[in-house]
Amino acid sequence: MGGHPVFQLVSVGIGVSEKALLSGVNLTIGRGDSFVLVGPSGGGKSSLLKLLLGGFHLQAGEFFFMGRPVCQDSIKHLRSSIAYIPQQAPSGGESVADYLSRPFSWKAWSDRPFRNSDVEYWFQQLDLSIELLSSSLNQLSGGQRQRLSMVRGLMTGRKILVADEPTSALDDESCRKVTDLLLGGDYTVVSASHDPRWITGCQHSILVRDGGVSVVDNPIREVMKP
Amino acid sequence: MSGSGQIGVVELLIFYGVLLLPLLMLWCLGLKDLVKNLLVGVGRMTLQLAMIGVYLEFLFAQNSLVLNLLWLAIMLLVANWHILSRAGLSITSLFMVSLFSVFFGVGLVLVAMIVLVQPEPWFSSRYLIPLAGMLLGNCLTGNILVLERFYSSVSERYEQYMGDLLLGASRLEALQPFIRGALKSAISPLVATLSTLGLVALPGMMTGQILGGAEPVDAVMYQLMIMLGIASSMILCAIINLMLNIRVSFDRYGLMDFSMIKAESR
Repeated sequence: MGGHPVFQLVSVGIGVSEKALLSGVNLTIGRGDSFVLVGPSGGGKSSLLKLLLGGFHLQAGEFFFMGRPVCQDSIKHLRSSIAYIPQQAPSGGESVADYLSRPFSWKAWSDRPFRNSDVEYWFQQLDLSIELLSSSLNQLSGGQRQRLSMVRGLMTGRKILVADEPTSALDDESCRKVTDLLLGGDYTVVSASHDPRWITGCQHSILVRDGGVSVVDNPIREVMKP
Repeated sequence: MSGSGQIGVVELLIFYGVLLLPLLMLWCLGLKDLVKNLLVGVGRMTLQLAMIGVYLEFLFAQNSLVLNLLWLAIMLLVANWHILSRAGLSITSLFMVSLFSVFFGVGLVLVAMIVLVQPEPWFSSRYLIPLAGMLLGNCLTGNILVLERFYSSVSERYEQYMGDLLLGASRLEALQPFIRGALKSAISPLVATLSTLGLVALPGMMTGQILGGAEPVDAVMYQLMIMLGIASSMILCAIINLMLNIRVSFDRYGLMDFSMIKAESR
């Protein structure tokens, strides 16, 4: 892997069918960097994050992960190297324990055992009570479910995070814990957010708007714009 | 089917009068649309059954292999078209996979039934056509349910699917909850039917046979064969159809092709 950037996008275009959502995207993200995408809703932030995980088709340009072009054959490697924290918190009648342990039945995770001690560790880090394990997802608050999806990603032990609106449902106390943990330098982070508490913690801000991306120095102002 | 107990045409037409009282009550309750739809439904049923009755008489009289197979093929095509359109799916993209599933599930069980019943000749219309009809009719509902349930739950909770897929799950691993849910909702009604059969209601086919003059024990044996066949072919069709649909509708990256779902049902 050496000096290769984690993600490199060269003149990338994405979209649904013929309509281009974003075009001419150039982005290089190195190990240990923390990036946040800001900009209006529907501008393509989530789509760009999903593209980094092969969750969106490339319309144009080139996409490299660890210096290797992303294609059908390398998609498994890409997806099992990154912890994805989706925007939508988990819901449904599934129990918290089942939700957290289900990934360990997947082939990509078969070399990792599901350990209760890991769950305890991450629950403590994110201020979640261990008693929640026996509840069903629907009984939890939005903030608890959001942290739960973080635990699920972090339990993989992966050091690259792609997080969509990670703090949107969190109170100040939990938010501080999350930003300290994720943006403390241990992780390479690519995120999208409207939350000034998260944005100020990221090293780089990218404005996603009007079909393109650009670097911004004062992202908070962009977020506060009506 | 001769002698006492046979229904005459004129008497049957008079019997349509049993609908008068219920229709009148609905009318008085202000459900005029329902009355109209019901009348249209009864009309269609009468016309369709009359036509099929006349056609089957013809088919039985001919008892020709080619004609029977041709009729089976038409039943199969119509059933398959119906499955996809009722499930709100793209008929052009999914016709072949769905056709194969229904053909396979119904065909396999039909062969087993013919071996059990041993009609003479084996392609005798009197057995082949009604048996295939029973199997197809039930596969139809099973397949509509499984496909409709599967596609609608995946589109409703696509983000949840993506959450698993992008975390490293394979396509089938991430789809597993959706696959199980769809199969459960398609097969549970069958299980409920099997468990109450004979207790709550006498099955239509058995009733028909008994009224037609068959011995109850013979009718029961046929009914058992039919129910086992229906269960087997419906579950086979549903699973194969779902698996093949996944192969067609999801690409190698695990992303769903939303054009498979017709716009109006999205």
